[in-house]
Amino acid sequence: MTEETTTETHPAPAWHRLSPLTVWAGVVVLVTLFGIPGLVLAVIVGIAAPSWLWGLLVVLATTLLVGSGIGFDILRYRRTQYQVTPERMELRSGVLSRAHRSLPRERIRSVDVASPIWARPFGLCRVTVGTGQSVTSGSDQLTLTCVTVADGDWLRRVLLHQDDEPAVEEAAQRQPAGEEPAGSDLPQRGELARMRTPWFGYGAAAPGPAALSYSVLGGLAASTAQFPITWILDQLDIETNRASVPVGLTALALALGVLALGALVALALQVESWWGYRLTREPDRTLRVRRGLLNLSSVSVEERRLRGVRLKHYLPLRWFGAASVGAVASGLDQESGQGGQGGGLVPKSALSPEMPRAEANRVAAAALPGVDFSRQLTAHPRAALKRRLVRAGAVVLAAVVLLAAAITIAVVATPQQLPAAIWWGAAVLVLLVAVAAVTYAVSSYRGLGYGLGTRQVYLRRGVVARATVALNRDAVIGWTVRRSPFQRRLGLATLGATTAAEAGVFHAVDVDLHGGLALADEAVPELLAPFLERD
Amino acid sequence: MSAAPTTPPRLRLRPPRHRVERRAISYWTVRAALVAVPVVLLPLVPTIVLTTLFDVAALNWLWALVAAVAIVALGVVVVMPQWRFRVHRWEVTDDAVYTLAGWLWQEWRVAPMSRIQTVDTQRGPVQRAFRLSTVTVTTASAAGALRIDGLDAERAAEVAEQLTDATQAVPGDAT
Repeated sequence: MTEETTTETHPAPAWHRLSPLTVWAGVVVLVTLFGIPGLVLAVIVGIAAPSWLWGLLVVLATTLLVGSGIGFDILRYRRTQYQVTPERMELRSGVLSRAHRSLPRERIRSVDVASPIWARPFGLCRVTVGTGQSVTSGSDQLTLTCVTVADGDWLRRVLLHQDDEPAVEEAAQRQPAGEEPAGSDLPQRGELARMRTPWFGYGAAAPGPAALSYSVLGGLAASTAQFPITWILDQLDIETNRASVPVGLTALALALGVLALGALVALALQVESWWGYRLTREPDRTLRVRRGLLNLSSVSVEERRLRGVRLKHYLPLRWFGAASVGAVASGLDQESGQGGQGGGLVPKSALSPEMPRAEANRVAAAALPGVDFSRQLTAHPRAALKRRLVRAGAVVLAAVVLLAAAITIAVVATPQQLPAAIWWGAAVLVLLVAVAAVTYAVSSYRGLGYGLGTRQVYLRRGVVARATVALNRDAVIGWTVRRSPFQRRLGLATLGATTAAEAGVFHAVDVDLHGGLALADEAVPELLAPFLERD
Repeated sequence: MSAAPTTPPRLRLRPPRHRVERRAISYWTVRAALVAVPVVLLPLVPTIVLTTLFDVAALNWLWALVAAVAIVALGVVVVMPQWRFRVHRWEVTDDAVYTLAGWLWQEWRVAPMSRIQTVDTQRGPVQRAFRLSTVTVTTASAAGALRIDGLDAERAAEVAEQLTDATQAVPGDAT
């Protein structure tokens, strides 16, 4: 259908423009954001101000603003061109300062096709091409805003479609020697996962939406709460004693209300982000995530660039047995999107929404053959727990010292005897700190784990943001072993597997030296062996 | 620690084969002093100024602070270079580059020859005074660079050349 026609319209490398509809979409956005409010303001000012000329002034200013915005959009449209040659993708852009960026196609790792809500009525989409190297200063992405959906689809397929030599060669390398032929576990094709309605429920506490929702509400509350509270206190000033209980109750009700409202907003954001979620394996060996209710998003990751997958079991949702799956690959580096553009709520590496743990295990296994997140991981030695408990002890000690200093100052400063409640309060506070610190230490220790599968190395860590990374064994391109003085005394080490994705290294913290080295030696045969000794 | 006595022999990393140049001790000393002197001067100068202006007992505390900073700084300048020299080692085999660096915190790094992307040698002004070089070996990993600090300049050039030749012979870098 559209596929053939679009392929035919782009036979030879030629410079293409963005869609001219981009300008019209820009007009709509500018008029809605500035034009209409400007007119409303003009009417209000015209009525309220002594002379209607003031209203005219507002109209003029608005027209100027919208007009210059449209002019800029037209210039941007006329001065932006891209082309896809057999070797490179090139982009010329910039209204005032021109830039010509050229990107070798073999470096392209991911293509992100997004249709923001304002572009959808025009059949437009934004295409973001991710690479493993930086293209512009500080960014490893090229963005086209906007092209038609058909062009976006064409770009996605053409840029990731590479059935040339390196692909075959690497695919052959992917099979570690001595493993059973891949016939039994050929990667599953087509649809690997799709959204189920109950999963939206996890959205109320999902990391991205909930954090955004509560931070916005918190900010709103902080900036406005002062007025009603002072007003209430002023009203109740005469009867302070009688009012103290209702005020406390009001505060509690308010907090609960904020909690519920935050959950609701987070839920809505989750639905917006993940509506119609589908994870598919495309015939051109890419993994494709499609999702979105109002703003559509489609992220394609080249499979042979996939270094591993990550199972994120973050805290509030871990208690409800939920987890999500993310890709470990280069070209998806920005964990939180590009400054709001392209949707910062869901990281580009996300392969699934929050879903039941078993389902997440299944999706991970489907996305990266050989992965088994249900496997039991080896626990780190007790010495790792000891280190964490010592740190917890240090925190408690610091709390005690701080409190003691505060009380000493209070005793010196005030002539009267301190009320007994202060001592009780201090004791309770220290106890709370101690319980929290020890719980954190134990949880941190229990979060540690490592393991070795047929094709992947498993590393797990974290307390609140606990995640298990399954890293392809053939994607490990080096090892690091770091030891602090404390670790040397306890026989521990921090093992790092370096790879060409994200921060470049994944750590097993406080593993026992023998266990860590054995893991590294077995995971990547012959790399570490010449440097190992036994005693 | 956690293992039962019946377990098979326990694994350890053997140190890489080559030490760095003895001159590196002087280089590290100078480098540490370049940091330590300003760090000590920062509290020292105001303390001297204040002491000449006022005669307050509280200033003794400032002097104690200066002394503490100075002792730590002197300790680092004296101990760190020796310690580093005893730790720092490197080795290049046909298949891999292997380094050990650090003093309090020590780090072993291994990168296979087949995954090396670039080999650089750097010489700062202080290093040049001691005829020393640093060889940096990078892989496709953003965090996996190996540094051999304190090599003789000529030796460093040889090592870099050897590594460049070896890596060109092996295709593919896993990007």
